[in-house]
Amino acid sequence: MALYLLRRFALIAFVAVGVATLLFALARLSGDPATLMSPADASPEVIEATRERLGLDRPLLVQYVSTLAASFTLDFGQSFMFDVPSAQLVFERLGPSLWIVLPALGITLLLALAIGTAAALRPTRLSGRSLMVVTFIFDGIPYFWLALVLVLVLSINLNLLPATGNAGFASLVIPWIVLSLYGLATLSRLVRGQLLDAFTDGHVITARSKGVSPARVLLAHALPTALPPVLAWLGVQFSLMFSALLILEPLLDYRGLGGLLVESVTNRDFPVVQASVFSLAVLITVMNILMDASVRLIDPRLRAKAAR
Amino acid sequence: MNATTTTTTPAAPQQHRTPRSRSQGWEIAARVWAAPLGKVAVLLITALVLIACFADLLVPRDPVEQVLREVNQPPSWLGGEGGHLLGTDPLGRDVLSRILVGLRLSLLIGFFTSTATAAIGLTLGLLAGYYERFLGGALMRLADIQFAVPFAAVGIALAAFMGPGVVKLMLVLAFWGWANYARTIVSSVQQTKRMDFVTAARTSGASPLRVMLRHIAPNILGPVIILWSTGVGTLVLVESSLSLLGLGVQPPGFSLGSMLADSQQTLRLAWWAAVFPGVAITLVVIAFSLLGDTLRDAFNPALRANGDHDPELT
Repeated sequence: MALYLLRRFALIAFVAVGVATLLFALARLSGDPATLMSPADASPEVIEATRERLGLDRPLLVQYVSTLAASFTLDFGQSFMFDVPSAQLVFERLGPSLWIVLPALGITLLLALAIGTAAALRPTRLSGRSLMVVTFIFDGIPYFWLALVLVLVLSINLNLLPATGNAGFASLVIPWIVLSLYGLATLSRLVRGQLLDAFTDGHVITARSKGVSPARVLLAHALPTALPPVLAWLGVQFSLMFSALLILEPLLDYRGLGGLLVESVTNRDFPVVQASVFSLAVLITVMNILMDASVRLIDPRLRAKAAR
Repeated sequence: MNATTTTTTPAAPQQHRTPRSRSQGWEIAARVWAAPLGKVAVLLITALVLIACFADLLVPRDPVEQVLREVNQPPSWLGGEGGHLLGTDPLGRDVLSRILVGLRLSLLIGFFTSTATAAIGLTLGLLAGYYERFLGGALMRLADIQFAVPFAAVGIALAAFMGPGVVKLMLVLAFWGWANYARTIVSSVQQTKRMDFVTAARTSGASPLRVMLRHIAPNILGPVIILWSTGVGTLVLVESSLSLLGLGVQPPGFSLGSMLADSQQTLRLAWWAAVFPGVAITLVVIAFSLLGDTLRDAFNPALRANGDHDPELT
């Protein structure tokens, strides 16, 4: 187990270095950073001054190493827009985003387990099949469009919720609905497929044959077998939800990490872009590792392997 | 000789049928058509493509003509004036005509980008699986890094630094998507590489390039085609979402996504201008994800048999 954790942490470090490298390369490939970070109509002298101030006149390798070192101490430099350390800005904005993503992830998991199980119990009947067809329709609905329609119906027409902004619980409702429906179809299909496979597993058939009640077979035997890939997918879903959040937050005028990233990109606030992409990547890796670790805790086969 | 019969690894998760010969390709097509949802998908996609091709003949109005007298008219069946079936947008343009024409750009972006991604992904996946020790390791680690970064973050950052535009957008999308393909096919490539017929080809002096293209590639086309199909829908979605932030299609060009973007500010005045393009996007995405799903069943009948379970057991 210790070796396992060690390897997982090595993965975090590896991803961190990789993302920092990628960001460095992107920043250099996308044009002269000094020009990009100066105001649009800056004179050559101003651009030159920016270059010196940011240390962009040093050799590329020196710049790369110092960027890498700075990333690991979360020192991405001052934000141009707000004149506070970029990392601080990111941490302030991360909270509101997690308030959307984590509950939505929980809702998705519960709904997917319910829908997937219901469909798996009647795979050949019309009710089971139509459930799956419904998931396809949900799959096709663009999340950002759904957000607009919900704003239209719930906020503008019925006046139930605030349309935009951070106004506590009420402003979280629309993002929660949108994001929890976002990955629901994929996850329900996964639950259904895994359960159907589990039903033919030896130990499940044995449990059935010795007269264990159907509910207990499902909960104690089939579901634990079906769950690991579902949990592993939650890690991916976490990343997808953050992707969607980058579009949703500006759309709903919500002040979270997604809104910050888009804002900083359009304002060419490069330290903040770097800080937010870097933190997001590390966060997503950590989430994936947590999911992977919980799979190991649940799956008896992997547990036995780890104990040996 | 056919790879189907020589599969030695029972754990091989993929397709054992190669669409190499014409007859096998037809068989896959026939299986897709035989599935009810496959029929729906094929008909829907055919209809969408035909509409996109002949949009100029179908449009009731000029999609770019701005009629100031008829700004923000609701759909005609809701009492709007001027006989616009789906209403007009805040600039007085006919929403239905714009959807029909906008569909063309959306589909083009979806098709081209998905095809480019598939080509890059297939190439890198083949290389990673064939030269598994060094190149394969390096590419898969790169994929690990890419998976940790939400795609939208990269799209937004690049589009902003390179300036918005469709072609740039398509390039970025195509180059970012390879990892998905490579991950899916790399293990099949490694398994296929160890099969007897590949070894035979190598011993008889076939170059690595020939082995990869002639002997391995046909055996991994299944997942590539499936990913391509769902990819078209996904890329239409991604284009729409980036257009929504003003980073995608720029006026005077327009796609379904940029129509949505143009009308989101005036949601209170003309909801129809935002809602109907969204319905069109939904149809596109559903059509291609249905096709992808029926293709998956068609390439792997065993999986399907597994899915339709013995009712006795459940």
